[in-house]
Amino acid sequence: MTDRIITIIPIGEIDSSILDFISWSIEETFRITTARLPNHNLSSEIPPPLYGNRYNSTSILQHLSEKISVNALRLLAITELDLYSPIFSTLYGEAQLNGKCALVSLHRLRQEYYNLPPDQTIFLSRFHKVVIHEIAHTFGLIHCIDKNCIMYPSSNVIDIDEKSPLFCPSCNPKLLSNI
Amino acid sequence: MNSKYQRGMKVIPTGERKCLWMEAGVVSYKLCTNQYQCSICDYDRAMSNRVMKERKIAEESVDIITPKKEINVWVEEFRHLPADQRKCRYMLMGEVPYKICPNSFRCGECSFDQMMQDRKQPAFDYSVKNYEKVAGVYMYDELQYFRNHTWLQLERNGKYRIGIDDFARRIIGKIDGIELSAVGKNLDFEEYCLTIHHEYGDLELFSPVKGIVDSINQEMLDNVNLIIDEPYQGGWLMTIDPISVTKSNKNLLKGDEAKAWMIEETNLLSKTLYGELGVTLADGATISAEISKNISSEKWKELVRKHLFVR
Ligand SMILES: [Zn+2]
Ligand SMILES: [Zn+2]
Repeated sequence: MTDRIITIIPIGEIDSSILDFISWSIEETFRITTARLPNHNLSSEIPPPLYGNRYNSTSILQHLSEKISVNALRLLAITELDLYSPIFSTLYGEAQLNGKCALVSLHRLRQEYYNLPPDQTIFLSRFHKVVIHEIAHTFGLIHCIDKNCIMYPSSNVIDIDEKSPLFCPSCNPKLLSNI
Repeated sequence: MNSKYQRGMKVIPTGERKCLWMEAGVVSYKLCTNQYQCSICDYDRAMSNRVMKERKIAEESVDIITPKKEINVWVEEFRHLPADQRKCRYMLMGEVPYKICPNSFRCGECSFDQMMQDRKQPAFDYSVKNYEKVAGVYMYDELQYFRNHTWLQLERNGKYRIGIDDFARRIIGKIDGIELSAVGKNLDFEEYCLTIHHEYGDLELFSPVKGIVDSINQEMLDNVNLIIDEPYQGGWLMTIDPISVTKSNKNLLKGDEAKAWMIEETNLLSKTLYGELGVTLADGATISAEISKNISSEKWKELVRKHLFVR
């Protein structure tokens, strides 16, 4: 029996205030309760990093789907690790379409990464959009051509900043019928 | 002075040019979007049809039967213009300071036109800079994209320059060698014009334009991986003297339409690459140029078939 819960699993150390923020974000958006697992360290269980310390996102998703058994509707992993996938050389996140697992990296979401002064508001806004976007993939939504829609495929943080945190009139009904 | 011409006087934005229908005074305002290549212009075709239809109705009403023939009405209108207003198209394009058309705009029969056409190929315009990344793929606003992931750009001399787009080069990954149609070859719609030798097998791409191969990028032939390294610049393939592009218009995309298509292509890419996890959708900065290294040759062949329409 699967509980109607979205479980959050931090991979490595993640600041608890960030996790509190995202739990609230998810509950507000999807109207589904969240739960949290303790920090999970997987560096010994996945292939070593490539391309200057980037980890294979698809391998991490594979690991999550096989090794972490929780009675949850969805499993969201959050990491500070920098990611790549067989399709993208650098990643913000990846998720199983109509599947259980989603993964988000914080690595490239902070202003500091781009040598800009820290800005927590901008960082949390990006984090919120990427997390909601990835979870929406697990509810069957694909990439949307509307630049303002949260399901627009962002190629950089400017794209993330420019899109709204909302689903467009075409994506919203699809989401509602799938959750 | 011709009164119709007077009525047509309007401000032409800098860098824009009057359509010949406007220049001839048939319409009051229309800008040229096709480098005066009227033979490939939808507007020219529509206007010619409309005027011929009107003329036919007028002729039928007075019972005069004239043989049907293909004509450009602006050509006729030009003949009625005062001599100093029959500007040569190279003057209209700003390529020569002053030249009056001696030929009623029958450029195909004009020796001056032939001379201008025979000039050395202008170098590729590296000023195309309005690029944007769409779903991890670089796209240029100035280019048109065909659905087989070739791009085309209309040059100042009326020829189309073609190449492969950023998405195609990332899927192809590495090129072992190529074969191209020869200069002078008459290419039909969607006729194969490029063979790429790849470690997973040969693939053949077709031309997005119907026309005659006008030139081939020699520098690229000496270093075929320019196609991969600079797909929009040094890696261009050939120029084509167009006969028509209109038949394939539904497959020819520009601006927002092209960007929406690219997003759909990346959705399809993710779906094709499903694995043990089913389909996963990733969000990132740039599509990897090493996709082919991470998949089987069978999977790769499926990708190039679906996206590049190769044979
Ligand atoms: Zn949408
Ligand atoms: Zn996505």
